[in-house]
Amino acid sequence: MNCAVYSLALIAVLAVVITMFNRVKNEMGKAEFGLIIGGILAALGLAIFSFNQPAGLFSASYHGIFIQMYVTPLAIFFEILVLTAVLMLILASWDYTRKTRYYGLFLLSTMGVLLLPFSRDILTLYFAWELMTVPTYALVLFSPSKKSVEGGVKYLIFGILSSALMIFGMMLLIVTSGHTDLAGIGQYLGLPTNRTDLTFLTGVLLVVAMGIKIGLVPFHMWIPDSYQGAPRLVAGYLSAVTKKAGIIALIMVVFVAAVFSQSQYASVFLFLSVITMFWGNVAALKQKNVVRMLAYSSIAQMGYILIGFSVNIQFGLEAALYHALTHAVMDALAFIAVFAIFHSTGAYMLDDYRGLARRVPKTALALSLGLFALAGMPPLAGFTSKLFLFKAGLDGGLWWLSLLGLGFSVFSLAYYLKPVMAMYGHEEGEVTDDDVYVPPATGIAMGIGVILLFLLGLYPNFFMELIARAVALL
Amino acid sequence: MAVNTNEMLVYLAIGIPILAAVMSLALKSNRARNIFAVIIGLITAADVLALYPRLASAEHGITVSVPWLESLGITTNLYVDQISFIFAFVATFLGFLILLFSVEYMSHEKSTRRYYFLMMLFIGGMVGVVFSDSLLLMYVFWEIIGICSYSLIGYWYEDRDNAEAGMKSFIVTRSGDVGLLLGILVIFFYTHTFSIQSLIAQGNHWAVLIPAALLAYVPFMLLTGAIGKSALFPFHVWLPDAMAGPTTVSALIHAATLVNAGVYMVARTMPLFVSINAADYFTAVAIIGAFTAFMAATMALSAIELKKVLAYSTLSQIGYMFMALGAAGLMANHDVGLFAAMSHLMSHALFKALLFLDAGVILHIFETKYMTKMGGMRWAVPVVFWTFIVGALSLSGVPPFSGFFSKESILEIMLQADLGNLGLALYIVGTGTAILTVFYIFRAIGMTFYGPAREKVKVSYFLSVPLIILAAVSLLICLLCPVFWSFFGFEGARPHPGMTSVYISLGIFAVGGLPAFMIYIAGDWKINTGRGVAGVLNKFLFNRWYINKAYYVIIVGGILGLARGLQFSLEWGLNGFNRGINYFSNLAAEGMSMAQTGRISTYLYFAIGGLMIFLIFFRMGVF
Repeated sequence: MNCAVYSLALIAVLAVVITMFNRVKNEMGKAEFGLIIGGILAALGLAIFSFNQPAGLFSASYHGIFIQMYVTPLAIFFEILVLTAVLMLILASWDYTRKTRYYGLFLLSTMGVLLLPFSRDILTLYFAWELMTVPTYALVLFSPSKKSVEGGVKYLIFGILSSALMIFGMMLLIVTSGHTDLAGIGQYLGLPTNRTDLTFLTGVLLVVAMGIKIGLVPFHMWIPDSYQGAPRLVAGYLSAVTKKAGIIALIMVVFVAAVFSQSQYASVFLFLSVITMFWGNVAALKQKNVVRMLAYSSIAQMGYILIGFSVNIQFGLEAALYHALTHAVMDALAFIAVFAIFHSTGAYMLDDYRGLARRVPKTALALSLGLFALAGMPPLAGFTSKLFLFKAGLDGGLWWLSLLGLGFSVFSLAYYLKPVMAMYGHEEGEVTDDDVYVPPATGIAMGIGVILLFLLGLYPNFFMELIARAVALL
Repeated sequence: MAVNTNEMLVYLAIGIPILAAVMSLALKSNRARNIFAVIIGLITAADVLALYPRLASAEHGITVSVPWLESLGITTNLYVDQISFIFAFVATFLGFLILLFSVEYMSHEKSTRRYYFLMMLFIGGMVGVVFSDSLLLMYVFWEIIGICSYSLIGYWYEDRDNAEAGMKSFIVTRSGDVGLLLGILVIFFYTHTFSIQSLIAQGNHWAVLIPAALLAYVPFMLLTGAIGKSALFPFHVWLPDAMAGPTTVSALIHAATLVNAGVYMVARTMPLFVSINAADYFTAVAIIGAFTAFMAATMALSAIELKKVLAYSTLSQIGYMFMALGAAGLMANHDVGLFAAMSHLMSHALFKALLFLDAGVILHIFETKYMTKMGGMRWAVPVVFWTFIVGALSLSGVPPFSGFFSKESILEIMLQADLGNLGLALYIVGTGTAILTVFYIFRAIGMTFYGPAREKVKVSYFLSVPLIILAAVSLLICLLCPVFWSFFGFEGARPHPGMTSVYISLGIFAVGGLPAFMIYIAGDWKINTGRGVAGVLNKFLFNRWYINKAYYVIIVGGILGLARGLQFSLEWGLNGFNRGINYFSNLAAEGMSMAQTGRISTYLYFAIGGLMIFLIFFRMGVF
């Protein structure tokens, strides 16, 4: 029996306990927070422990309620990804809010994300998707202001649009194929005679539904506004974690349920990849607000991931998953650092960042490393994963797409370097040498992130093995 | 993943110093860093030494495969054999002694954080270079030690000259590295492997894969990197200026380890190029070595800074090693030449580090770098004097000091029959250089240590103990020679300097030493500053044969000229291109921010429009 399921169960129990605890106490103490961190660590430990265990079907019935979950290497990989990012973000949250509600909602959403890769059934998939999304509506509006209400409403409306399109697409799938499990649908649609124009429409509906969550151009418009309005760590969660959930759902629908034919998905993702890279990178260039810049950067990064989707080879998907992992870490780190800077110095525009390296040296270093990694500088994580993606492009015969991605990577330095240069540049005005305090939990979270940047950059094999198995056993 | 002891030791030898370097950044006080660094130095040296019994007279080295970049189809290995052991041992053992020496030597610095970080990173990087089987991995470490060297030369960067010296060393060695990288990429492109050992195992099969026209240049590409790092002619110009760094750095990096990386490179790739009979290459190696040896020795004759004398001497001795390696490649029995080069490398590293540390103490106490202002140090710091004498005798190749064995074995192999006239010429240059060597080192002794007596100065144990250890090792290492031979695993063709060599080397010592003694120790010397043949010669030598100046005119001037020309012709095009990109991306970004109205209806139009485009494209048959 595979332990991965227990790690999901652990998070589920934790989420429920913390949510119920809200009735008892509004504010959390150190003990409760320790419980959460311990629980996440234990779940992460279980996921890593189950690394080499065989894949299989987990089923349990309790008084007629029948639960089925498919434990695959993909699910284990995704669990590790999500729990790592969530660990960093929750650790950093502790310094800013002690509200029990916040953690309860956070964990409920995490539970939904974790459930996603286990579900091989359209109904559970949709359930997991909504479980992931609904708590985030509340989280985005956690500390309401005029700006955040605007962002929150946009997020809500796009979330609803996404859900509606998804239900529509799923319904069409069930009706046309007569199956509810993804593998069955895949088998049915595997026969070319079963494929109609309606199948393509279904595929497009699902891609758009997930594309909204992932932030693919042109379904990305809500992202900058919502990220800007949301508490920055929640924005980090949306960017680092829920986007990856969209990627996983997309993999399930496209590669397991085969909603597109081989030639169709290659060209659909090629199209999306090119415009997403283009729009994200170019729009990021002019941003004055660092969070908006990160929002566009995370749109652009999804374009790189789609390179791996559009080449029709196994290594492409492996590279895409590896980039999903490294991006989760890099983005979580960047958002945490940006939030720490905002919280302790009040800086959030590029102009405010001038000379910050002298006031918050460690945070500035962590943010710079995170941005360098996002830009793809060796030997950090982003370099290795982009290297894999571009290599996949070359192997898959799309050399020009790799070249384009490389070009955009170089181009992206233009905006990634802006905050770094501002922070380390000479400050012209007077230097306020007051000791700015960055709280310890944030420091630990950033430390974890920085270590992972190097580990993932220098030592990709640990995960690439798992990913190779995940893709092979899709 | 099962890791056996050998693999563990190999990993740790690289990992301990690098991790320790990072950890040392977190230490708060200078004192804590001192203790930490010394302990780490000791552990690393012990770790490398523990590999000794596992390698002694072994046929094959230890291969460790590193799971790195496997997904790209590249295998990365570490490989440790006798040659790499010698280098790693020198780096870690001297590293330990020098870190010990630094405790006192660097105690006046405000913060030693940067110093210890770079020193430990350097030790790890150096071990990494010599333990890497993969050319790619080796190149990575190669650059790490380059960066450490650059930052340590410019350690006192507030002084503009020091920063410039660092920059110079960086640029000169980097221009050599371009060749190295090119060579590595050519080899990889055609043979699809980075592993030196697997290339060697193929015999000359690897060479067949490379087009013949290109193959002839491959050894020279690697050689460029090697002579850049080892500071051989024509890349030698950076080393004398590198003396701007702390003396401990000069001792470890610019005398004993980093500059030997080129020697390592040539020694390591020798089987590769022997397999394709690259006689041109080996001849070039030998001639470059001999020429550098001679040229640097003449420069040392007129230098007036103590550290510069030692720097030129380093150049000269590395020239000897290259001479031996070049000869080795041309001989039927390569091992003899290789062994001679290795033993000279080892003995040179020890006595040169000793000389540098001595110089460091003197500079430290008297705060001048010019020998003309020193004088009388003999009475001030007797420990330094006596250990310096040991180092100098060793450098001069006087029996029974360590330099005698290694230098004599290099000179002896030049007379081997299969080298012919080239060997004879090299022998003559080598002997002549040896005479000059004796002269310049005793000149330095005379100028520094003799003259009017000075008051005695107390030398701390932290300074004197490493000196005494090194002096003792320089004196005694010849006793270890048999051990050394059996470590390399050859019994038959061992070089054994006989009585003839003793006479020859004593002759060299007398010819070079007597004039130096007469002029600088017994006599009343003064520097010839102008007139006559001697004056002109002195000026020529003092200005380093004007090579530096010529480089400045040709390279700096030429490059600036070229740059202006290029600037003139390319600026318009590139600027236009840049401006074009800038203009269009700004235009596009403007358009995008216009689309980003903030109104949710616009956003929805975009999303639904995107959906529609897919369907329209599908109808049009695009998908």
